[in-house]
Amino acid sequence: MASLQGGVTINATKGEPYGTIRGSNFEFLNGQKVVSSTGRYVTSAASNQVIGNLNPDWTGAINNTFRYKNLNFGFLIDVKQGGDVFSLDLYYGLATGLYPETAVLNDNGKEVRDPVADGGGLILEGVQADGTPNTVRYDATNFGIYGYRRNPAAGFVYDASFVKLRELNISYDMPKSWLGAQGFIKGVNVGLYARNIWTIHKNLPYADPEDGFSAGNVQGYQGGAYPNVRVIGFNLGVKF
Amino acid sequence: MKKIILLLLVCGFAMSCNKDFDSLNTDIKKPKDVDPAFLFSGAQRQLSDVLTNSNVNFNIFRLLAQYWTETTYIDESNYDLNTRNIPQNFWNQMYVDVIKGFVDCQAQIQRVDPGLTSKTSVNQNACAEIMIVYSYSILVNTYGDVPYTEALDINNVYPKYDKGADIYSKLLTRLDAALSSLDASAGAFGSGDLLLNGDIAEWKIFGNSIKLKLGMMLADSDPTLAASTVQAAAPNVMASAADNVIFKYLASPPNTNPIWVDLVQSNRKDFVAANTIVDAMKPLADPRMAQYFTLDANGEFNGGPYGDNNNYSTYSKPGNKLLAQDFEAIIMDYSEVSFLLAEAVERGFISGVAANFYEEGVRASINYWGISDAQATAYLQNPDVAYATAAGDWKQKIGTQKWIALYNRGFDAWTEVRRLDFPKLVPPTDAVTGFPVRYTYPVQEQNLNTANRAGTAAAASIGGDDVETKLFWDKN
Repeated sequence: MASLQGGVTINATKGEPYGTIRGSNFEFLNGQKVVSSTGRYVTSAASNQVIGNLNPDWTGAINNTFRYKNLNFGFLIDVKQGGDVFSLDLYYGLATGLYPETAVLNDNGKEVRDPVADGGGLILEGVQADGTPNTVRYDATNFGIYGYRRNPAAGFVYDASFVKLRELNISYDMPKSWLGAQGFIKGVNVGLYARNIWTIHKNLPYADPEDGFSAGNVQGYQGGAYPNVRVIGFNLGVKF
Repeated sequence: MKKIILLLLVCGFAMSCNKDFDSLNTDIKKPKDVDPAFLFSGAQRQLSDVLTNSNVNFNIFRLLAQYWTETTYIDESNYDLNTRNIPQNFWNQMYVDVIKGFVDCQAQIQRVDPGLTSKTSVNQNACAEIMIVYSYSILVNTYGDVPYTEALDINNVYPKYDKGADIYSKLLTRLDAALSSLDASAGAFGSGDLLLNGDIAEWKIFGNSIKLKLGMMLADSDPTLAASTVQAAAPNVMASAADNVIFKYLASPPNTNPIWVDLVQSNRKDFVAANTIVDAMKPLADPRMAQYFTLDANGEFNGGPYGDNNNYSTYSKPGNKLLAQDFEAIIMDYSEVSFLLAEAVERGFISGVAANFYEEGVRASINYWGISDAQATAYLQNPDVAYATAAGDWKQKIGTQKWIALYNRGFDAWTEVRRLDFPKLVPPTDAVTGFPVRYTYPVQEQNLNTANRAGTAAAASIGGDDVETKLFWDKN
C-alpha cells in the first residue's frame, strides 16, 4: 500500500493479515541474531520480509465519573496493546548519534564512542555464523553500530502499545442558594478539563506511538513524529 | 435598451450551445493521441537524464565506479542500496519513463500511419526500436533477468521474468531488423530526434555501434554469438568523434545538465573526487585530470578515500566543465567504440592491430575534453600508457584506460569494470556488502510480483537476488 524510505513497505498481502510491515530483517541462527565476522548484525538481502504488523491485538478504554456532593470528577484511560511501528527518527537518529543510547559506557567501562583500539566500541549480542557467541567488538564512531547503516529495518520496528491517561475533568455545580431567589438562572456548573495528560506506559522511545503519516492505510510508520497536543480547558455551563 | 440586452443574451446562449457538446468531455490537457516525435524526444531525454544525473536516489554509478565519493552521507558509496530504494527508482525510470515512452511512440507511429506505409514511418519505427534495444540492454546489465516478453502490459501486472541471455539474443534480432529497415533516402523524426537530428546514416552507425557493444557484452558467456555479432557490426561503427551520440542540454531550466541541477543548483556539497581515480591518473600525469577535477587548497589533485567521511573543502571536486548548465551528455562515443574494437581484436573476433584501436580510444577521449593532439601523443608515449609497455594483460590495459575515458558515464564504467575485471575496485572497509555486480530487484517486485521474481523463479535462475550475484555475461 505504500513504499517508504528505508526500503520499508506497508502491505495488504493475500493470505496474510492486513497491514504487514515489510523490510530487511536480521538473520537468525537458533533464535539468536547472527553477527558478521566484522562484528555487526547480518542483514537479509531481500527487503520483503515481514518485520511487523500495524494492527493492535486489542484496544480498550476505561471511562469513569465520580460525584461527591456538588463535585464531579471524571477520567478516561486509553489502552492499545500490540501493533508495531517503524520509526524513521530512530533509524536515522541512532546512526547520527542524536540519542543518548549511542553514548553509553561499554562493558570495558569506556565511552562506547572511543575507538576500538582505545577500549571503545561495542560487542553486539548474538552469535557468529558458526553458532558461537559473538566476541567481536565493533566501532561506534561516526555512523556507528546503532543506526540504519549497520542494522536492518527490523531493528527500528517498535511495539506501538501504550496506556494513556487521555482525559481528566473536574467540575462543580453551584448550590442553588448562591443563584438568588428569582429563579431566573436554574443552575451553574464550572469545571476544568485536560486531555493528553500522561502517557502511563509505552515502548517506543522518544515519540508518541500514535503518531503516523496518515489516518488511512499507511500507518505503522513514523518520521518526524510530533507529540500529541495537550489541551487544558475551562467549562462554564449556565442553565436558564 | 432592454430589448438589446435580451437579444445579446439570446445570442450568447445560441453561440455557447451550437458546437458538439461531447468535446466538453475531452480533456485537452491529457491528449490520447500525440505526435510520435514528442514521445521520442521525451524518452530520449529521460534516458539521458537517467544515465547522467548524480542524484543519490537514482544514479550512484559514479560512486560504484569510484570516480567520486561522498562527504557526509556515505551510505551509497558503501553500497547501501536499500535506504533510498535505489533499485526501485532506477527500475521505474527505465521501464516507465524510458522504454514505455519509446513503445508508446511506436504505437503513435502506427496510429498516424497504420501498417507503416511510408519510408519515414518505417525509419521512425526503427529509430524507436534501436532506442528500446539499447534501453533493455541497460536493464539486463543492471538486474540480470527482467520482465521482457510480458513487460509493460497494463493487463498483466505480474509479468514473468525472461532470462538475460534470452533477452540479449532477442534484442540482437530486433536490432538487426531495425537496422535493415532504415532507409537513408527518407528522414525520421527530424528535430524531434534530440540525439541525431533525424540523420538516418548516423542512426545506422549508432545502431551498429550498439550491436558491437552488445556483442562484446556476450564475449565471455557466448563467444560464438559475440564473434558473429561483432564481425557483422565492426565495419559500420563510429569512425570519428563526429559520429558521437550526444544529448545536448540547454542553458536554461528545466532542460539543463542534470549534474548542474544536482551539484550547483541544489547548492549541495555531497561529492568529492575519489582517491581511486585520482591515484590512478596522477602517476600518469593524465592531461584530463584538470578537466575531470578541480584543484584542492594546496593546488594539487587530491581524492578523498573512497567510502570514508570526507571533508568537502579538503579534496578535489568534480571539474567545472561538468557543472556547466549546458554541458552535454554522451550516450555513446568514438572512444568507447575504439576500445571495444581493440578488445575485439584481442579476442580474435576481428583482424586489425589492437594497439591502434587502443590509441584511438585514448586519443578520442583526450580530444573530447578539449585537450590538444600533441598532449595526447605525449601521453600515449608514457610507458605506463603505451599499449606495448603498460602493465598487465590486454584486459588490464584496456580496462584501465577505458575506465578513465568513461568518466562522467558512471553506468557504462560500472558495467565495463564488471565485465573486464579491471581496474580492481576494492570495496571500502565499512561497506554493507562486497562490490555490487548487480542491483537487487526492487522492493515492489519482491513484494508484489513474488511468484515471478526473486526468492522464486528469477532469483533461482540468476543464482540469488543479491548484489554479489554475477550476471550471466560476468564470468570472471
